Amino acid sequence: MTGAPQRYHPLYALGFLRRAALVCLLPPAQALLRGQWAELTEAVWQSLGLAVLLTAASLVILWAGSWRLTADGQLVLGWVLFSRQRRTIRGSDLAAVQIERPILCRLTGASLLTLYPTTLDQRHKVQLCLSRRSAEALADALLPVPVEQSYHPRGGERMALAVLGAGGLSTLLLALLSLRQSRNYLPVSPGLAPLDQAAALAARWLPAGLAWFVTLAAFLFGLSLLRSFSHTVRYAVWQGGGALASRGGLLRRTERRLRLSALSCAEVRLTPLARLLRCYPVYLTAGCLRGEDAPLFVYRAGQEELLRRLVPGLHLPPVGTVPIKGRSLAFFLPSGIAFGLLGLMTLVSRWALPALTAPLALLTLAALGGLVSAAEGYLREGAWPRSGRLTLLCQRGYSLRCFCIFASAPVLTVRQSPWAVAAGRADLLLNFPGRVRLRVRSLPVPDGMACAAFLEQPPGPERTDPV
Amino acid sequence: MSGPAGQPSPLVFAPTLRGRAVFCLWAALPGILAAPFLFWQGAIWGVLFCMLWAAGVAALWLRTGSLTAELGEYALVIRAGRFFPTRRTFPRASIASVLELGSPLLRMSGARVLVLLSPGAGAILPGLPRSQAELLCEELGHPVPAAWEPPPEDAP
Repeated sequence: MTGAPQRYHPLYALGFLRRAALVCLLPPAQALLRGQWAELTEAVWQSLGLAVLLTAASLVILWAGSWRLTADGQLVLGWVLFSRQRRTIRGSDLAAVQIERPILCRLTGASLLTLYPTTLDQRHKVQLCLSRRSAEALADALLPVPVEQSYHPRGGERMALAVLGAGGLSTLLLALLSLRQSRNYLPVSPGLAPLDQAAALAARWLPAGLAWFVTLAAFLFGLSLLRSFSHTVRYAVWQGGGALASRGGLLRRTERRLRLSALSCAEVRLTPLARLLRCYPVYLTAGCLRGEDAPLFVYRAGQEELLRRLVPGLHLPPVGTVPIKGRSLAFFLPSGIAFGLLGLMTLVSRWALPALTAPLALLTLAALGGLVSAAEGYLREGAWPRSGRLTLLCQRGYSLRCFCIFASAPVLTVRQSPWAVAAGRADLLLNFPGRVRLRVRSLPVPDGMACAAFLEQPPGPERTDPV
Repeated sequence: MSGPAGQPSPLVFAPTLRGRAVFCLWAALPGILAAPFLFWQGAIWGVLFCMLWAAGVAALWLRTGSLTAELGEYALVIRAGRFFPTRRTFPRASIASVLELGSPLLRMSGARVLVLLSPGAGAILPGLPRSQAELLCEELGHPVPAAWEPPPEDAP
């Protein structure tokens, strides 16, 4: 594999063709919608000609790009169309490597290899379409996968399955309600008769159109859950040799490797569902790989030892409340405004539009949930150096996020407004490689200074927690 | 950098009056160029725009007046602002590069503008005296005391 330049997999050209396919399909579609058959024949010939041109362009793009692995393990990407370009990537500069095999790739023997640099942002990640063997060999050369261990945490499957089940049931119920509401406009289906009694009370409050809208939203949510569940099938995560690896997926097989020394932060997210099921998802950020789309793994309460084995050196923020004297009430602004407005609209709708009272009441309840989460953030959000690591607790939306900072040299900003100066409070902002930012709101100034003093010490195990 | 009794004392850098003036002039230039177009739309728009832009330049003048940078053994601490105070800590290991800017006006005023670049963040130190800017660049170019590298984690 080293030495001679190699071409990308032909699927790479298909990516360009797929984006341009709309240009080919538009003229015949327009003619078809207008019902003009003579024009349709001409449009089809035009589209065929255009498709031939685009295919030729795709083949030229395929020919222009190349890659090769040098003897000292550097990846060199080349481009020779209109200008000569060369980009050199060292394995040591990569924070993470991901190999994805969607269905189309698996059918054609291809793999999508994504490289995440340590210090650059998301725009500079590199995605290559290679043959399966080339992708594996290249990934092994740039970031070798550790030896797979015997224990694989499987909490993610149970959690996703439970949420999927709940989502499926609620979608089914909503579909029945919608059908019930639509009965006035459609012929009566005898199959619905036994379910009328159970659905009548709730169905009375939902207009048919809104019911179908909510059903569609729940159906789409269910589809996304199904997708998440498919990611957790045969899922395993393990670490060793300075790297953390995960592999799994049913329809889209994904393997991800993270370099532990390039880890920026680890996040344990306490969502309402995670607290209910006592299964907590863990997200890792390394370089420009944010990992917010899917948790790397999910661990159950009581498995903290496993968590520390997979992510050595991980510490979580302390449990308990923080001093709230002088804390900014801006915590409650977004959810408070939403709750107030929706509550008012719910009350007004009792007289003006009774059909909308129930959905508005649902939205008001959701805003109340946001207000409760904001209250928890008000009582608990903070930053603490612990055992040589900086830990943060932040509230975002309905969840509480626990961060452990691994980056040895993040940039820290302590920012105050005139009102915060008077109250002795400040906001803390951390910037990591890859343009990742974290913010802790309305911290006591001494705590902010303690975090700054912690980072001004030399990085390493000798870093002591400020007194 | 060593002070009495061998304790390393931080180097402190601050912009000069003339350096700040040049920097604020740079900030005012886009507004001066755009003002005729706003006046063309209407006198009230032109006046409003000029007032807002002047307020922005005045705020920049005040902010640069309170700017200081302290270079310690492991970190550079930048403080700025009186009404909206900000304290930024740049670990020296995170500073990837320093860009030193000098225009004819800056050379006449004996000042430089430094742009610090680190992965994920950056900072501008405007109007530093030329000698201080060169000293800061030289100090930041020195290798940082070796950071501890954790050994590769062996498989359990």
